Amino acid sequence: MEKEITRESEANTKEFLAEAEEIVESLNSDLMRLAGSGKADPALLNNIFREAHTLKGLSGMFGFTAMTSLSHNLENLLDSLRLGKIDLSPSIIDLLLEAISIIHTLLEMRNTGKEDISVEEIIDKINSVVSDQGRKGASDAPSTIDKAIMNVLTEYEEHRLNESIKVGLNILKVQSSFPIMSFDQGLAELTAILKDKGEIITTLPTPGFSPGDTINFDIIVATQIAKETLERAIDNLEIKVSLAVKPAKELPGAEVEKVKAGIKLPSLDEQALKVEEKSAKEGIKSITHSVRVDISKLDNLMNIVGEVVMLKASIGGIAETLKTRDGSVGLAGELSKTVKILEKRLYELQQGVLESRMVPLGQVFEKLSRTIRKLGREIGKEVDLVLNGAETELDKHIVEELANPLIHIIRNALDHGIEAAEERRRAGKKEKGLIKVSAFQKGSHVVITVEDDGRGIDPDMVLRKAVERGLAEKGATLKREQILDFMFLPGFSTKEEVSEISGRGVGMDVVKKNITDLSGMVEIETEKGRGTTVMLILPLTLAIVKALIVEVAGSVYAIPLNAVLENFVLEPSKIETIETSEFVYLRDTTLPLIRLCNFFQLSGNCENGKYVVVVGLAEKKLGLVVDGLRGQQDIVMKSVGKRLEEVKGIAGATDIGQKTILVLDVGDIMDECMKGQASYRLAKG
Amino acid sequence: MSYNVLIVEDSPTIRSLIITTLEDVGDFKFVETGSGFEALKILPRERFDLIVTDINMPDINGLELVSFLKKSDLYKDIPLFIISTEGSKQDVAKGLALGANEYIIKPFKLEELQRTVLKYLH
Repeated sequence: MEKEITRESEANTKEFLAEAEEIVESLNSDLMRLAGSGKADPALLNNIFREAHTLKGLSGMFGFTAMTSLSHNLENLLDSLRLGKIDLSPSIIDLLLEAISIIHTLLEMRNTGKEDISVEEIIDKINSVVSDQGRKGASDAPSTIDKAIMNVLTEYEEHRLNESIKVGLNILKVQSSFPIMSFDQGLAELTAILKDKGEIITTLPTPGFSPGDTINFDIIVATQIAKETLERAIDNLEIKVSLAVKPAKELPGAEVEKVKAGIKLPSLDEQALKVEEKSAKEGIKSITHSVRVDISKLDNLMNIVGEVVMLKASIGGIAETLKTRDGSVGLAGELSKTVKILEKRLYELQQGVLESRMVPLGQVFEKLSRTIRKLGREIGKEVDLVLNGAETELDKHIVEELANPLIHIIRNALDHGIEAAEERRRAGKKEKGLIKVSAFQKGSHVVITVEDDGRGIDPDMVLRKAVERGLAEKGATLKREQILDFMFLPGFSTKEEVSEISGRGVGMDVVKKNITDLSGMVEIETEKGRGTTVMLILPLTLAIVKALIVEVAGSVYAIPLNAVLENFVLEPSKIETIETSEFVYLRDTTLPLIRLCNFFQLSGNCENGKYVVVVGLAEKKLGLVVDGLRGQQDIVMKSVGKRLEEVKGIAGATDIGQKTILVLDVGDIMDECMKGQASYRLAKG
Repeated sequence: MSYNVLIVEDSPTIRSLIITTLEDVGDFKFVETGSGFEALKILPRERFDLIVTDINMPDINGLELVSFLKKSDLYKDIPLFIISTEGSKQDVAKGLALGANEYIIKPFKLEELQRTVLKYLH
C-alpha cells in the first residue's frame, strides 16, 4: 500500500510538472501579447493573474516552496496591475518575464532533481514595485451594487463593476433562458453580441422554470450604449434587457446616497453568474477534446509500432518463401494479400502516432521574441522580428532541441549582422533592423530560415581567416559555399564578428552539431551589405524512417531515404579523376563519388562498386558507390553505443531481420568529404 | 456502496490529486471537469453524493456555481465543498454564506480532505 501511494504521487508530480510547464508557456505568450499591445487589457491581465494564481495553488500542493512564494509574489504584482493600483510599463513587463523565466528554471531543476535556486532577489524586486499599501480590499471602492450580486462576485469582479459605475457606464441586466443540455451555443452567441457592445461583468445561472430542463442566465453588462440600443442589437424578444444600476454620473452627491440607490434598485434580483472574457465554448472545448500524454508513452508506442513493422516484414518474407513450396501457393497468396492490408493499416497507425507527437513551432518562436526583446535592449539595437509559419508542426523532440540553435542564430544576426543605427543610415537602410524567421514544410522536411538585413558576411574575409588558421591553402580556389562552410568549424570566428557580447552561447559549430544530431542540415547564404540567411532543414520526424538498404564489401548499411535522390548503375568507363578524387557527369553537372568501402576503410575489395546512390541535402549532391542495392525498408533508428558514437558517418543502428546494421548519416558523410579536402568537390545541382 | 463525486476544477493535476487521495479511503466514482458551464450540463445527467469546486475557473467562478446549486431544489442537499487557493478572506466568507458545506484551502493536507469527505458520506 505504501508503495502504491508513492507511485501515485510520483505520477501526480509528473503531471504537476507538465501542467506547470504549460502554464508557464501560456503565461509567456500572454505576457508577449500584453507587451505587444502596450496597454493594460483587463481581460488579458486577468487571465495572466489567473495563471499565476493556478501556479501558486499547484506548487503549494506539491510542497514546492520556492515556486509557491515566487508565484505568490507574482500574483500580488499582477493583482495590483489588474486592479489598476500600478500602471503597466515596459520595465514591469520585463520584471514579469524575468519572474516567469525563473519559475521555468525552477521547474527544470525540479525535473532534473537538482537543488532549488534562490528566489529572494526576484521577490525583493517584485516587492519593491508593489506598493507598500498592500492589497486594498474591494470594499474600499464605492459599492452601489445589490448585496445578492456582490455575494457571488470575486474581489476582482467587484472591482470591475465598481470601476464601470465610476466612469459612468450603463449597467444593464440581460435575462435569458436556455435548454440545459444545449445552453452553451445560445449563451455563446448572446455573449458575443454583449462583448461587442461592452464588458461582461458577470453571468449568473439560476434554476430555470423546470429545473431539470432549462436554465436561466442573468448577465450584467457595463456598456456605453442605452438599454434600447442593446435590445435592438440582441433582436430577440425572449431575452429581456433592463437597467441594473443607474449611471453614477446621474447620482451626484454623497457616497452613501449612491449605496442606497444601488440597493433599492428593483431590477437586481438575487441572480448573477459570471462569464470571464474567455468564451464559454472555448473553455469547454479544450477540456473535452484533448488529453495530455507523457512524451515517453508516445516514445514507447512508437517503438512498439516500429517493432510491429519489423514483424510485418518477417511475415512478408515467410509468405514469399511459402510461394516456392508445392501445395502452399494458394495459401501463400492469401498471406501476401493479408500482409499488404496489414502494411497499409500499419502505415496509418504509424502516421497516427507520428501525428500525435507533432507540436507547432509557435512555442519556440515565443522564446525567440523574448530573446530579441532582451538582447536588443542590452546592446541598444532596435530590430523588428517577423515570425512566419508558427503553426508549422514538427516532432516534439525536434522542436525542443531547436530552441537553442535558433536562439544562437538570432543572437548572431542581432549582434553581428544588424549594424548600429548610424551605420544603417549611412548605408541607406531603415534605422530599425529586420530579422525574419520563417518556417514551412517542404515534403518530408521542415525548412526554417532566419534572415537579417544586416551587413552580411564577406567571403573573402572568411577565406583569409581560414588560410590564417591553416584550414585552406593560400591561393586555393574554393567555391563560395565551401568558404562559408568554414564558419561551421569549431572555434572559427572572424575578427569582424567578435563583439563585446560575443562569448555568450555557442558557436556555429555547435549549432551545426545540434542540427545534424536531429538529422538536419544548416546552410548559410549571405550578401555583403544586404544581409545573411541561415537555413535549417529538418526532418518532420525522427522515429521511423524509410531507408535504402545497400551492400558494401560484404557489410549491409541503411541509407535514410529522405536523403536519397536517385540511383544508377556505375559505368567504370565514365568515371573521371582529378588528383585522387573520382566523379562522373550527371546531367551536365559533376557528381563527386565516394566509395563507402574506402570511406569506412573496410577490409576487402573496394573496386566492386556497381551502383551509385545519389544523396543530397539542400543544394549539395554526392554519389555513394556501393556494391549492391537490397531495396527499401522501414527502419527504426536506435542510438549506437559510445564506442561507435565517434565514428564519422554513422547516425545509428537498426535491426533488420535478425541482424543489426548501421544507418548512415548522410549529412555527416558530406561534411567529412568537404572538410579540409579540396579534393572532394561537391557538386552544386 | 460507491459514491459519485463531481469535481469542478480547472487544474487537471489537482483533479487527479483529489481523485487519488479519495480512492485510498473508499469506493468512489468521479466525474471531472474544468469548466463551470460543463458542470451545469453534467449535473442533470447523474446523481451525485458530493460536489467539489474550485473558485477560480475560466468561465464562471465557483461562487456563482455554489449560488446556483444551493438555490436549486435538485442540488441544494448535496454536500458541496469549495477547494481553493488561499485567496481573499472575503471570498471564503462569501462561499460559506452562499451555503457551501466546507471551504478547504489549498495547499491542504491529503488526510484533511479524506477526513472531511468521510464526515459527510458516512
